[in-house]
Parts: sequence; C-alpha cells; structure tokens
Amino acid sequence: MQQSVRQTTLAALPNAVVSREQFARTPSSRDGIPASLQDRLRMFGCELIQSAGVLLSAPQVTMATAQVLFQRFYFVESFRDMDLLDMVAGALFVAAKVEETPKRITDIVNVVHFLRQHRRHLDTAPLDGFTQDYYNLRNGLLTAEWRLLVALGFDVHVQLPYSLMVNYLQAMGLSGKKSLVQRAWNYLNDALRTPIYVLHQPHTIACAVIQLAARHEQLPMPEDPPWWQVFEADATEMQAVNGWLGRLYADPLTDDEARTLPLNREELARYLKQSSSRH
Amino acid sequence: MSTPSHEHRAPATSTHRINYGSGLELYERLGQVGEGTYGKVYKARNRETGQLVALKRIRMETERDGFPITAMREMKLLQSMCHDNVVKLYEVMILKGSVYLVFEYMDYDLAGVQAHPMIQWRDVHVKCLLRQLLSGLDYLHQKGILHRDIKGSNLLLSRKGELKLTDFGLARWYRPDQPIDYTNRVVTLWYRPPELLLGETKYGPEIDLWGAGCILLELLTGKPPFQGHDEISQLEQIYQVMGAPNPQTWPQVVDLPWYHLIRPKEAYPSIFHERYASILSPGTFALAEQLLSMNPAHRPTAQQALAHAYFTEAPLPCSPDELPKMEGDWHEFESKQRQKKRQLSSAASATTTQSGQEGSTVQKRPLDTTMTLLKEEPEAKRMALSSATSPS
Repeated sequence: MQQSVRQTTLAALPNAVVSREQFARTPSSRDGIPASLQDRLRMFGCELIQSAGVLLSAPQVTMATAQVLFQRFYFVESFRDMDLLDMVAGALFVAAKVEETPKRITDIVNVVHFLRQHRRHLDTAPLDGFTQDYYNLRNGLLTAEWRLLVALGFDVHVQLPYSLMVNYLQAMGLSGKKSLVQRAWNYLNDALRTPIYVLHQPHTIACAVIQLAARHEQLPMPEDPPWWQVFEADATEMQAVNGWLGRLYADPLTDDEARTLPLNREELARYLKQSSSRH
Repeated sequence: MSTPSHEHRAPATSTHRINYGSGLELYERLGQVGEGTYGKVYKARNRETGQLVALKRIRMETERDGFPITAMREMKLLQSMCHDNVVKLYEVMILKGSVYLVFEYMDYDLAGVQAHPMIQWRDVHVKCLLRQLLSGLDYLHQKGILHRDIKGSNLLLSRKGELKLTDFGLARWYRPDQPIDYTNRVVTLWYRPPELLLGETKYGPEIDLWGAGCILLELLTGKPPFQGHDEISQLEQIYQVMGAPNPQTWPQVVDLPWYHLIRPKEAYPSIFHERYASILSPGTFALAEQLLSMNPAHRPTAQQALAHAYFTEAPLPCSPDELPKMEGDWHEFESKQRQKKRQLSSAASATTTQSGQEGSTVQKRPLDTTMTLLKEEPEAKRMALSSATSPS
C-alpha cells in the first residue's frame, strides 16, 4: 500500500495514475478475484455513484470526482477488504466535500440504500434512522471515507478532462458542432466506469474522446500532422482509451447481471465459491 | 474544475507520500511553535534526513460529519499549489488516529519578528518582504484562491529570507465570473477590510490586498495601523485614519448590509496623508494609500501592485538573503510565550498578586487609541492581540 497510486501532486498537477505493475497486479487479483469480475465491479460501483449523484442532485463534477476516487481506491485496496457499496457511499461523500458541494450522510445513506434495493428488486422504503441497517450503512460510509483518504495518501485532487476537451474543440473551431460536443461529453461520462481515468492523463482522454466522436460524426480531422500532437497527446495512448470505451459499449451491464453482483465481502466470498464450482 | 493547463505540469514529487505509525520514530518533536484555530503546530526533525519540519495536527472532533471539510479543503489547496512564496506541504502523516500535515520548517513569522527587540526593518527590507508577499498573493489569485487570513503570523520567514504564505484553513476557491456568497466573518479583525466589516458577502482578491496594505504599514511603523477590539471599533479606527466612506468615491458602499446600521458618529476627514506622508517615502506612501483604498474596486490587484514604481525606484528592494538574520525561532507563538513569562514574573514580584488571572491578562494588550506613531516601545514593540486573532 505504501507504493501506490499517489506519487504525484503539486502545481497544475497531473492526476495520480497507476503503474503498469499496479495495473497488472491489483490487490484484488492477489485475493483471487478474476480481472473480468473486477472490471464488472468497478463498472457497477461507478454506475451506482452516478445514479446516486443524480438522485442527490449533485453536479456532474462531483459524480465524476467520486468515480475517479473509487477507481483509484481499488487499485490500492482489494474488493475483499473494503465493501463495494460502502465505498460507493464513501467516495461520493469525499467527492462532495472536495468539490465544495457537501451532502448529508443521511441523504447519501438513504440514496445508496434505495439504489441497492432497487437494483435487486427489493423493498425500497427509506431506512429508519434507528435501525441496524441504517447504522451499518452509516458506519460503512465513515469507514470507507477514512480508508479512501488513507489509501490515497490524502491526495484527493482530481483533474477532470471536461474543460480541456471543450477548450480543444474551441481551439479547433469545432465548439459550434453541438452533436460532436455532446457526443464527446457523453463519452467522458461513460468512460468514468472504466479505469481510463487512473491510466491516462486528462489531455490524452480529452483527445481520445474527440477522435472517437469525430469518427462517429464522420467529421474529417487534420491528420497531417495529426491534430492531437498540438495537445501533446499520444496516438497509442488514445487508442488504448478508445479500446476501453469500445469494450464498455460492447458489453454493458445488464439488469440481471447487476442484480447478482456481490456488493460486500460476504457476497463476494459466496459469489467466488459459486463461480469456481460452476467451472 | 481548475484551469486546463497540463502544459504547466510540475515534476511529480516523491516526497508526497503518507506515513503510518512509523511517524513517531520518523519525527523527533522539538517543541511547539504555533497554535491555530485548528490545533497545535510543532517543530520536529526527521530522524533519517535531519530535515526540520512543522507538524500541524488536524483536530478530528467533528467526527459526526466524518473527516472535516475544512481540513480537506486545506489539503486540496496545498496540494494544488507550488510557488516560492507559498509554504510547501511535504506529506500527510497518520499517527495514533490523528492526521498531521508535514510542512517545510520556517524559523520565523512576521508577527514573531516584529516582537524581536533588535530587528528594525529598513526600506529595502520592507520592499523585499512586500514583493514576496505580493508575489505569493498574485500566484494565489491567478489560481482563483482567496487566502482570507492575511496577517503577520501567517507570513512565514525562513533564515534565507524567503517569505511564504501559510495557513489556508480559511482559504477558498473563487471564480471571477461567478461571484458566490461567502461569509464576511473572515480575516483577523485588525486586517479585515472595511467592506467585510460592513457586511459584504460577495468579494474577491481585494480583501487580501487590504491585508497587504496593513502589513506594509506594520512593517514600517512597528504596529498594525488599525487595532479595534470589536467590529464596530475596528471600523472606527479605520474611519479615523482613512476618513469615513464617501459615497462619491465609493458608490456601492450605501448598498452594503450594515452601512446604515453603523453610520459614522461624526464626519471623519482622512488624516492618512498628514499621519503617514511625512514618515514614509513618497513611493511607499503612494502604494500604501492604494492598497488601503476604502473602495475595494480602487485597490490594485497583486499584479498591479507588483508593477508599482515603489519596487523600481531607489532604494531598490534587497535580495532575500540580505534581510537581517536573527538567532533562534521567532514566531508569534514564542513571543506570546515570552510575554506570558514576563507578565508572570512581574505579577509574581508585585505585592498584590492576583491569582488565576494570568490566563486572561496575557491575552490583552491595552489599545492605544491615540496611536502614537513610531514612538519607541522597546518592551512591547508589537504584541499580537490574541483575543482578536481567532476569526469566528
């Protein structure tokens, strides 16, 4: 945990990104959680954060920051050591503070509880503040906040690519193309569910989504010399970003899958046991 | 979202990492050097490298809401800054469940140095200090950060003469295009600008520039120019010197929430000129007058102030390493301790000792309303009024 995601900071600082080694050998992998399941858990956790943020009427920047913090955390710690649902609440709680849009613990707990019940087609009645369930969720949130801060070395700075992306389009005189801007913006939102934001710096991500959006809008872009060089992006890295996006869209979380994904340690242990006996 | 400038990337520092329980062995505590709204600040030495650091403990009392948002704000601000005139955060350390911020160690702060019996700033020194202060403020303001607590004890000074802004516990982000409502109960009373005292809640970098003006006069005359004991008397003090706010030169003043509640009792003319023109150089006077404009819109930005003729006319500012050096640590905290000791010993030698009064007597410093300028007071050239230093 000492040699982790942190190692950055200061100035108009770049984001904390993970090393190749960290990416290949995550704490969850060491705990025997298959990479494919980790991807699905990340995806689901971020989806829950996004939905919870909407219900809490948090601004997109808060939801985005929460998802990036969530992604970073699970490169430093294992899904087996920190319940996913608690970290959903904790990451949102921290991001709300970081982005100066603080939310009440009770509200976050209730929304997260509602989403869990809803995704599992269970009773969605709000929790009574005196029940054990509520108490557990609240405690889980506070534990998750602390674990998150410690794991990330209190480096809660998240540089998002949204404004960069808009600036780049402006610089190329493309900001008037509404559908292009909207498409690129949506890609940035969706990309939060993949590890892209902990693998690449914002300028790379911004260029990658512009490239992908332009391709879909069949908009020719200057290739000689390639336009992204102006923004110091690397073509190979952009390709990697778009690969993640492609896989995300090719294989989205279905309702059925979301219903069965393990949200805490007990469920995870059971899930792993069942899937190993299936094979 | 902050400015889109990955071009200005700074090298990643390897020092920014977190320490767990090992912190106790890693740092040897040498003594207390500060007491903030936050908690205590200690001087410590890294046993491995010998490097001196300042450890600032974050109080975790409000556990009801998890990790304090104020602390999170300060960390985020510190992590996003990198400038010669802003104190450097090395790392964050966790020790026995407490969180400590580990800063570079600075030997003095301006409030502490002001209390030094032998130190008398000359014009070239003041220029050097003010230039550094304004450079730091310029950096902050360009990044969209308001400090909101400019005062002597928050301006650290190293043995090499570098001045650095510290204590971002009250600092906030701001966006010039989206003014938002802030609290006006910020900035330590003596350095608080008139618009805040009159209830303004939409403000910007100008409030920090007023503080810089106060510091400028304080460095030259040995004491803060305006020393009220509450908001009303602070306004009175300002009016007595700068004149009451004039709707002709400051039209917006009549719209300030408390303007009509706290009308000046009498018509104050400005005596700023007659009080300071004779004892300050023309350049100093001109800059001080601008920084202390009643109308915040008339105050120069930090950048404009840096371009002021004051800095380019003779005598030119000295370089930081030419600033006077002194032995030992000189922070406001220690000068308060020294004062406390003095008061205790004088209280002990007095025939009628009032027991149990020490705690409150050290806090108070008689306010001299007559403001005898430049009168030598070697005993207490300047002591901080700590009852006014905790902004609520």
